[in-house]
Amino acid sequence: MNAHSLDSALYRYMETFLGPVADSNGMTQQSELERRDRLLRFFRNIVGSNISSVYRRDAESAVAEMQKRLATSGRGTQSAIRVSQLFSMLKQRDASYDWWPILNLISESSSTNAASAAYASGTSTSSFFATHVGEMERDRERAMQMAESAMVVDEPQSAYSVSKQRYQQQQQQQKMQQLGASDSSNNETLYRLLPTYDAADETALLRDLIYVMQGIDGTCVRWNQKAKMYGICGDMQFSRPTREMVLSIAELGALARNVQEYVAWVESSGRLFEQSFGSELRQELTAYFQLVADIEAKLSNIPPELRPGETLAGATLRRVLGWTSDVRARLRLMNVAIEGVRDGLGGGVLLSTISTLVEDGDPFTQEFARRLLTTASAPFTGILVRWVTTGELVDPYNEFFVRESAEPDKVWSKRFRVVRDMIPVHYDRVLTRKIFQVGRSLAFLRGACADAEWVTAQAPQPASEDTLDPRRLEAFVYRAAASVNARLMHVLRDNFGLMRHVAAIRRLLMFEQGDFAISLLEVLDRHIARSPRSILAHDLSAALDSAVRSSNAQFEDPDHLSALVLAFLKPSNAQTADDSLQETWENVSLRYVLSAPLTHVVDPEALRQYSEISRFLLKLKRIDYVLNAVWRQQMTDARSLQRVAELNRRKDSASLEPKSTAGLSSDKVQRAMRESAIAVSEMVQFFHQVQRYISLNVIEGAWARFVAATQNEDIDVDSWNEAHEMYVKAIHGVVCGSTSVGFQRNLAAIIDTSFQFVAVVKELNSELTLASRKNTPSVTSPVLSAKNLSMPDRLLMLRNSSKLQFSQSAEDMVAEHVSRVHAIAARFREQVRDLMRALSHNTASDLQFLVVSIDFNGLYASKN
Amino acid sequence: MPREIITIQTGQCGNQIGAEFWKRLCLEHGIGSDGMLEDYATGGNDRKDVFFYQADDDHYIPRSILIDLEPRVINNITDSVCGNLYNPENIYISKDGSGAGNNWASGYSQGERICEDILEMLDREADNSDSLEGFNLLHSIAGGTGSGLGSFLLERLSDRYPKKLLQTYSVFPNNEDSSDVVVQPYNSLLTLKRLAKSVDCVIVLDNAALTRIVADRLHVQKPDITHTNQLVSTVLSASTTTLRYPSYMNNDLAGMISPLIPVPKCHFISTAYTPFTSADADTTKVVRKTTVLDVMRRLLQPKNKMVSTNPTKSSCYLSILNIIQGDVEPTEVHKSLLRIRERRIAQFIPWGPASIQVALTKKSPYVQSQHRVSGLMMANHTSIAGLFGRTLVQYDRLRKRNAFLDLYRREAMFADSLDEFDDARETVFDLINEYRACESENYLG
Repeated sequence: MNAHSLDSALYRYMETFLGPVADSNGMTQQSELERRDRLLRFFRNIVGSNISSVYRRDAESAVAEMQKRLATSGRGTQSAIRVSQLFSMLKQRDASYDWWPILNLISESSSTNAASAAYASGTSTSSFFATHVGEMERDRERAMQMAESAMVVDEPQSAYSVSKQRYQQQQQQQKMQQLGASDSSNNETLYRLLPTYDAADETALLRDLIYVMQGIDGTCVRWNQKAKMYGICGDMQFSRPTREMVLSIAELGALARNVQEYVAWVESSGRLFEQSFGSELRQELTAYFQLVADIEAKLSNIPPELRPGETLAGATLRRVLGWTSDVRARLRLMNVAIEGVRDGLGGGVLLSTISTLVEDGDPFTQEFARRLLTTASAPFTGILVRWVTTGELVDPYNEFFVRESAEPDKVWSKRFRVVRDMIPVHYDRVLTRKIFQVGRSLAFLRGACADAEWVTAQAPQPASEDTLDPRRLEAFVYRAAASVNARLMHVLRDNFGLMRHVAAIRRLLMFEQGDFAISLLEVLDRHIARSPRSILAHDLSAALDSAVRSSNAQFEDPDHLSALVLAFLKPSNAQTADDSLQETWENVSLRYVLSAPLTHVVDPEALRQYSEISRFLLKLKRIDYVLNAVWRQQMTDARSLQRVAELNRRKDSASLEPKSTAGLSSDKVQRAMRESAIAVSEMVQFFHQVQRYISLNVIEGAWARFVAATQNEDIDVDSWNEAHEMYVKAIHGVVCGSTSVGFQRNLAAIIDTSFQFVAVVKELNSELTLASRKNTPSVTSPVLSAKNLSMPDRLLMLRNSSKLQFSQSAEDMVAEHVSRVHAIAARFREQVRDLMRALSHNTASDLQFLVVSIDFNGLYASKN
Repeated sequence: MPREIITIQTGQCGNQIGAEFWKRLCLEHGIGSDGMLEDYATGGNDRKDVFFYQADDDHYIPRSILIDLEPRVINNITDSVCGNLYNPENIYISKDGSGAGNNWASGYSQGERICEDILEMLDREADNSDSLEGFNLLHSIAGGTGSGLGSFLLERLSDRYPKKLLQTYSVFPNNEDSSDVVVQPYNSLLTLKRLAKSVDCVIVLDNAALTRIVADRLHVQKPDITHTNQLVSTVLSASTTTLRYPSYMNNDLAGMISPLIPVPKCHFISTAYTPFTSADADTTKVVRKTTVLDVMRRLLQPKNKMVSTNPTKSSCYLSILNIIQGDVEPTEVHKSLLRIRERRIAQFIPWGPASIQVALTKKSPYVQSQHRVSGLMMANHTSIAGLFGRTLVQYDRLRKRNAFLDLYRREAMFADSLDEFDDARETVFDLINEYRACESENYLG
């Protein structure tokens, strides 16, 4: 294609959109032709500037270049050899043919950088044509000349086409700039007055920039410490586009420098995640430097003098800018990421920073960040997989969000904890919790539950592709969580009897096994009454043993019985006998001692609360027990009195009853006994109602809720524990906790009063026995030794005792006791009323309804 | 601390209801008719040792003493399927085998004669227990053996075991139909005196009410003794469930009856039961869903009471214990109590606090029942005095005519005088007055 044919081709092309020149008006035709001429020149200029030829080289050097690239890209020497083989085959086919343009095309288009490849291919395509169409070169020379002449007219210019005329223009421009400065209000003008030529030749500038891109100062572009960026030296003048291009390319240098510094730091002192992140950065950097090297290579091949019409082949400012656009974006992203993680906590924080970039709307950023994330999270994934498959925490730099804490004795609750800040943001709460649970459960199974065999043999293992894809990994965690949790609950429930133990606690410590409570009271009563001050720990264990043996508790699982301990709360201080008796009772308490691993699962606080509940219930049982004993004594005493009177009547039917002498006292005693009997029954009824409420409503109610809450098969240990805690708290709250302060205080007062009452009634009874004994010849109590006496003796004794001859002092004594009985019974009633008042203000629970059952016939209320 | 209870069954009635009672207990505890535990019953959490002891060869043997003055009934028992259950050494049949001839005095005086043998049995049983809680006497108060011998034994037990609780399940005669035993009022009155004075707790089983329940509630055309005995055994087993199936409360006899008896004198307990099911109607009846409230309400209805009394306006409960068995939500009890109280269905004494006690018990896993929930009410109600009053009226009617007194004069006790009758009348009169006084607000004053 010669110049003429190029011109005519362009002209034809122009006509396709402007239409043929109408030959109507001479003047318009003339101007139209001039316009088209100008346009033609402009097009020629464009063609000339863009179709850049390349300095020719021989085919061998192109092959060598390709081989070199293949070798560095890591595809091995094999393919490099293959290239030379292929080339030699080509040569054999037609040795005279110039293979270089094709090879160049292939070489450039195979360049990894897609964008630069496009540039490159553009170039090579044209060079291909240029070399093959022989005339092309000459045409271009001409075109070039035309283009240069076209520059003079005010047509758009290619800012970076190298032209010697630029130098001439420089002076002119400076003048204009000065002019523009005086008329600064006109931006348009100012813009126009900016330098449109460059102070340095493009090749020099590029060479400079090559250095800058590697972080080394050049002659025109220097590191500006203050701005933390590369800037153009003040005395250099560049046209605005050039300046901008230079600066954007120079930015690469700053970015790379930054990344390099970070990578260097990571290498010296980075943690695991940072190492991994750093290595990804390093790879990116290597690619970047590769690119720089490529560019440099292209530059270095430029002959010092370009032949006219030859442009800067592969390397022009604009091309370099294009080639580096991707890498710039990447470097910027890397810098953003680095800024986010520098001086940070590492670990999850690092991943969080990168993963926010994944959320970016720009697909390029997204893709790049995802790649960064994949690499950087490799160690995280490693730790995670290890954690969810074996329960081992291999995290030398504390980068994982699960940490092991230094509380070795709380294997379940405190051994591991989650560090909230370290959780990567792309892990949601549920997932984090699952991950934590799986590992924790596995560690617990392996350690405390001695189930390592299952963990190694049967714990769910991820397929290898699961670890690569975060979504599949997540799905795996969910699967693992379900199966590990099922296993843990199975082990705890079936192998270690978690629920069985809790049920046993309900039977033994909350006295659902009521006969056990009575046995215990009976045995303890014997022990404590015998030696209140010197009761020893082994006495207690013996007492517990015998209580168990004589009640249905003997059928309990031996595991449960061995967990049961009867112990002193604190060593009792020897005081007066009376006090220490009471105190010993107060201090004796049942405890349930779980063994590992249940100790780790069930909160020791819950066990302590169980013990407190049990202590309170034992007290309640004891007052019931003592009152029943008094009631029984009253019944049998009343029966004995009747019997005595009956025998009297039969034997002394003829003689006169000596009633008159003892009449008053007997009457008083009768009334006192009836009053105490009624008071006893009142107390018995009261405590029965309280006990019924506590056992059926509080304990059984909470138990039913607990059982319902834990029936679910896939419940995990923590929710089980939560339900259990609620269960214990519900009971503890009512009987000794905060839910019902008024209830407990009043109830404690009532219990105390009742104990006092029992003591006084007992004294009264023994007073009466003593009084009757004084009238009998026998020293022993008629009631106790009756079995050993012969029938006539017994009758005689009974007859005598029936007369109840009270001496004056004894009568006073009895009278005093009678009034005390009366006073205490009155106090009891008053306290019950207090309790009812306190309860009716309690709205927290259904305690207020207890009032109704205590005062069923409204008598307490009516006397209020 | 098994808190053992020794059962003494005297006379025809006592032995018959006793036999039913043991049959039922064996069923509930899974004990075979030979005393061996059934295979399915080994894992139970029940307490068998209250009523049974285990012999060396693992047989369960009832802590029971069977006494009669004639051999017929006891022979029937020993010949029956469960005959081998009992310890033969605990069976006493009077040697002459002539019975007491429906004569209280004869039964009582024969008691004096055979006293040593029987006490020996009792002592042996008592020694056989770790912590004897008391005695249960099963008898009728109208006949001769159960009433006369029973009365004698009660007095002796009271002397010999003054600290043990004495409880009786006493069958009161059907007053309307006295053709059977003409001296029934004499016998009843004399026994009542012992029940009032030598016993801690009497569970009153009124034959009149039992017959009515069999006829009206179970729809049996011709009620006979086997039906009423079944009812009685139901009451017996239900009233002992809290002792045999321990739970939170009421696990010993004293703990169970102490709230029922606020005043020692007033220790006559009437019962009510729901729901009744006849053995014949098992298949036809529809299984109904019963709630605790339903049960508690029905227990307060007169038709379910096993004592026929005519409550007056001032009649009231001294206390109530409901033993509820079956599939019950424990918290339901509390709500039911509130509802009962709201509706004021039950009237209580005006002079002291009184309430409905409720005990929930487990059900025997071996006995299938059509009903989800069943209930037994043990109540101390002042209207029971009416029952004594009727006995007193009938006694007075006979006594006025001095009818049939010769039979009694033959025995030593009445040889010199009939003071015993007068004393018994006075005692029963006192008892009636005590119950009447309980209805008044000024009881304590």
